[in-house]
Amino acid sequence: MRQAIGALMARSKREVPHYYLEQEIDLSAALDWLAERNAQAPPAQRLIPAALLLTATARAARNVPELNGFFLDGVLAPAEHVHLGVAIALRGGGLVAPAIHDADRATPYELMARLGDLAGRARRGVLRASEMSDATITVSNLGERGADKVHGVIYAPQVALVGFGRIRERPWATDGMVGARPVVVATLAADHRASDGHRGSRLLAEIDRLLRNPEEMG
Amino acid sequence: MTDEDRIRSQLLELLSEVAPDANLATLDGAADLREELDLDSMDVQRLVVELDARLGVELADRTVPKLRSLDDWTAEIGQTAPGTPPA
Repeated sequence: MRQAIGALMARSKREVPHYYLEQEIDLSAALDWLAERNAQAPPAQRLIPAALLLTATARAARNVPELNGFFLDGVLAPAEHVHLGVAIALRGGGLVAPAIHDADRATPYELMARLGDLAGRARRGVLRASEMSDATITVSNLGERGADKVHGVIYAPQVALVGFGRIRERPWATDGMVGARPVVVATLAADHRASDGHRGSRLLAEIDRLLRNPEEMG
Repeated sequence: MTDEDRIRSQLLELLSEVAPDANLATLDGAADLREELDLDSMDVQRLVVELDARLGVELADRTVPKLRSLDDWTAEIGQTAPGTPPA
């Protein structure tokens, strides 16, 4: 499998003209909202931050069609649905990116349940073929022990890869004052044949906006 | 078997399900579980859910990030009687 992934990555790097954008996102509102919600919820109904990151990405992708779809035969084919590929590292090595179908229509709770199911089946090697090939955009979330940011390789023929680094407390300046906030760096690697920095920025701006207004996603 | 031993063994059993390919036999009680077993936040969340479902122990959400080692988890579970609402 590692060879197959390697070949796909090599082809993507060779054929897709990538451009890269990054955005620091203040997660204080999102994490406060989560903590308040989780404090009153039994364990089975609690959310992890990744659920909000994925929800925001799926919903933002719905609004920027040049970043959700495929580049085939020289043209962009925007997808009708948002099937969010999620990069999952397998313990023995190797990477898969199966899709959560219609992720933009799911609540964060539903996304988390489906992610848990996907991750479990990915690690046991029992993913469906449709899950493996249907993603219209992929997200790579490094998690709580990951690096600060990820500049990834697009899973061609998709046209975008959204990355999230580790959530860390960082200095944050607002209204002329500096404080400490939990911050995540969101990145976008996108196919320059399908979009440009202006459109790519729209996606990151919408992800940022949703994460600053978490009640919209709940 | 003391209460602590019993809790530890139940915890190890749950961990073997959450991280099936991890080597639990050599796990040091004081080591950071997330590092040692390569657990991500979904794995930890699943552990918390299973502790509630199987042992009736409901850990407070804000406590979980502070529990780093097997010893930390064992101690916290020991202090949380089954069926007690979290502090």
